[in-house]
Amino acid sequence: MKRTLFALALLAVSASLVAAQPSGKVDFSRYVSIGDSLTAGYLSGGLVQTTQVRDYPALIASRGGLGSGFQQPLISEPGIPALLYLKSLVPLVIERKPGMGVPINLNLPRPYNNLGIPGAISLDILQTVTDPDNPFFDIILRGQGTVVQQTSVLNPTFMTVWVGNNDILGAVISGRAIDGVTMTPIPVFNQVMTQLFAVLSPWKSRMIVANIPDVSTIPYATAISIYVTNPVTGQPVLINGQKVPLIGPQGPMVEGSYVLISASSYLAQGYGIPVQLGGNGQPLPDETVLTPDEVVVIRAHVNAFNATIASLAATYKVPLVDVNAYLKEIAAKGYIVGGVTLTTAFVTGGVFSLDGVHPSDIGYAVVANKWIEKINEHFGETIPYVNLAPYLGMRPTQTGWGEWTWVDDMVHNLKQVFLKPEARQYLDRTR
Amino acid sequence: MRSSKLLWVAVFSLALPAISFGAGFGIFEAGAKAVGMSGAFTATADDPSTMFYNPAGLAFQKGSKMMMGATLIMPFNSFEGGNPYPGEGVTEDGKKNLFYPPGIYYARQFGEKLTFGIGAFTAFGLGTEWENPDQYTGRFISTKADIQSLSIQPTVAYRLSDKLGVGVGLEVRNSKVALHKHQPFLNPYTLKVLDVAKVDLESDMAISLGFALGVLAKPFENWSVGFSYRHSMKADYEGTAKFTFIPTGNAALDALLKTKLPLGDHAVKTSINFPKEASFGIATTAIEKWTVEVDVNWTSWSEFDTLVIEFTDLNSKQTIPQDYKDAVNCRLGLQRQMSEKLALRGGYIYDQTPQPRNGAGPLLPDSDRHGFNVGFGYTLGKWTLDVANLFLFFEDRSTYDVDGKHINKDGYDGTYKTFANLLAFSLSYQF
Repeated sequence: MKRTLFALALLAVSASLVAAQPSGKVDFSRYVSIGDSLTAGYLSGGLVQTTQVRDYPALIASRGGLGSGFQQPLISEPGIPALLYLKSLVPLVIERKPGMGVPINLNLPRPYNNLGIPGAISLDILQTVTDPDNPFFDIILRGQGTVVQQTSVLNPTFMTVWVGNNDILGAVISGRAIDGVTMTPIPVFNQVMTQLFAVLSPWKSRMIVANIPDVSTIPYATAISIYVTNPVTGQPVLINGQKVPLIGPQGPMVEGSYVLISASSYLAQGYGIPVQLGGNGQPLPDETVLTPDEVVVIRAHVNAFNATIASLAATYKVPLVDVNAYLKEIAAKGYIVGGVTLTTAFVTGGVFSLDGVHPSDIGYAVVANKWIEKINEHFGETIPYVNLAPYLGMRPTQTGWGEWTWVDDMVHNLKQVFLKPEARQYLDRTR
Repeated sequence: MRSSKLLWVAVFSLALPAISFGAGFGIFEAGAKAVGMSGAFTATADDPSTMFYNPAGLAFQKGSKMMMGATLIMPFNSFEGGNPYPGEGVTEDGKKNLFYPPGIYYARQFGEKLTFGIGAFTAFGLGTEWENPDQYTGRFISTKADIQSLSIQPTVAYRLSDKLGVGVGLEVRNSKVALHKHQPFLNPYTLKVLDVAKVDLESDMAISLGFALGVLAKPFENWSVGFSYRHSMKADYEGTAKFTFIPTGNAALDALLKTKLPLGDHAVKTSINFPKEASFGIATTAIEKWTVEVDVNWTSWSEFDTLVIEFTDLNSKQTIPQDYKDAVNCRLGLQRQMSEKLALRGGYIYDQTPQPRNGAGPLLPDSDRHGFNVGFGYTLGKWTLDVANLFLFFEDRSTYDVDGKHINKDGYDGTYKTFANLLAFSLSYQF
């Protein structure tokens, strides 16, 4: 009798153990992602469903088991705006696809799980509902309140926050670093983020944030050399063994400055190239160049913004994904997958898409894996990484042991007997 | 001169063993009696294969002896992929090759105290080859890697007293290297990876010189103590890397690739630092009819820090970091004399891998090993037959760290499973 009771008690205990083990330690059922174009899955100059379904929040959600419960403001082909495509590699021609996509999930009777809004700066997350210059607010927020208000409606069980990229990106894209115009002043960013963390604090124990990459490492800034380049060989043109700098608004370009992708149409017309090398000898316009001074200012902003994010994350005990360090590492050494090195090079590198600002499909998957790594580490989760093989089109072979299966089994059994401590314990018990 | 060259050719055409069956790419299966005692032979040292295990062993051997044999090595290795690459569900198999490193020895006593010998054996070798190399998911890292070696070692030993002998051998090691892989190319139009070339690197044979030293002491009745040392060697190889174009199916891309790829044959230089190793063993015959030996072996694998491949005519260098650590293995050998003619043997070896976890990859997936073996020796008149079988279990080798981070340096993660069966036999004749 006693024994039966004991057995029943054991059963009860083991049943409760099973019940206490849901799918994982993080509840993804109401996962909300807050951010900008990087969170929305914007790439190659547009937003379209075929890549939205593989944006980093969607990848995290699907790894976490959420599946179709993760709703996004999907946009039909060819995207809004229509995506860029590579028409020709030599000479390099990138064009937009014709036409325009439309939103196809506008009637969802609740806020979207993915509240990443292309173009949004930190302040927008707190207070913007609509913007006449940016259709994405209406497409994503649908007049139903700000990002933080809609987040509150969803009452997230898990939240990723990657905010602040646009607070500095404008300075790079416009080639001008002007506080309050092309970038957010440091004290303002500090204030806005402090408020954002306070507003999101009810969910702080289920939240994870990322910092801001150094935007001067993106192909938009690094793709074009500051020296005159032979378009056929891709090598710098040498005069008396010396490289010839392009002409910027302040005279010959110096090391530490950048020629932006927006300069390419001017270069094609001969701007920035000395007359003796076939150019028109006129300087490149200011908005297509970052001077070393501007680069210093931009980097100082990135560092200050990231210090703010790190300090707030520490205060609220929220884990931080150091995307800045990760992108720097990738820019320096590349990302190696299966012996193939992907780089941040424009068009040919693989990490970035054709707009030179946003990651490629693979780039987003690599970013998602970095988030997953941190989620696993911090929350004690075991979410599987995103499999990159399909992205790269590398065919997996599915052969298996074939006729040698019995050897596998034999080896396995012998190992159990000889090596595994639990096997030895089992043998001891049964003795 | 000519005849000695012919001799080399003859020896090599017989068998150039290529497989790694001590940790790293060491091989210690040099004689069937020693294998029967799991390589714990530094102190027992009582047959001519002691030229490999401890040159001093010859000092105590009477008359003239010839010993010939080989070890048939059947490896079974497989790989289970993980994310992010090559992905869960992917399995790969090692090619089921058969390797047979020989052990051939002749020893002759001159006078009471002096013994000369000459031996041929394999101290290092590696053979990792994957099935279906054209589809193998690790093909951009390595499809086949071979290090083949065969050493010829003239040896002299001197018995200082009934209790002490010393020996020294001059090791002439012939070795060569082959490395095969595919060259990837990221198609910028699709961001998919294409195979664009096969790269087959084959070196010529290189000769390197080294030496082996040993001391064997028999301080008390029924006890012996042995110490041996084999010096490190650097082998410098010259060879050819052959780049064979694989058409992509796109004529324009093929034309572009043909201008970018170094197709054809190119001269290469590479070298391998073979480590030094030291062994210490104690053997006793104090228990009637039994021989028990315990050995510890240390190998300076940290000398194998990088593999540098220099493409001399392309003026480029590829450095493959290895970062091995020094490793230790422990061996226990047992023998029971059943009758005048028959001895039964058994043993265990624990062999520590020198390879860091992030280095376990397609080139050489190493792991800690546990070897169990059985064997026998049968003497009939002047003939002795030794047979031993070693079951070598490799611990499963995962490329994920304790936090679940994927850390393989080539971005190829998963778990390697290896088992090997080694059947050794030797036939000896006492003149």
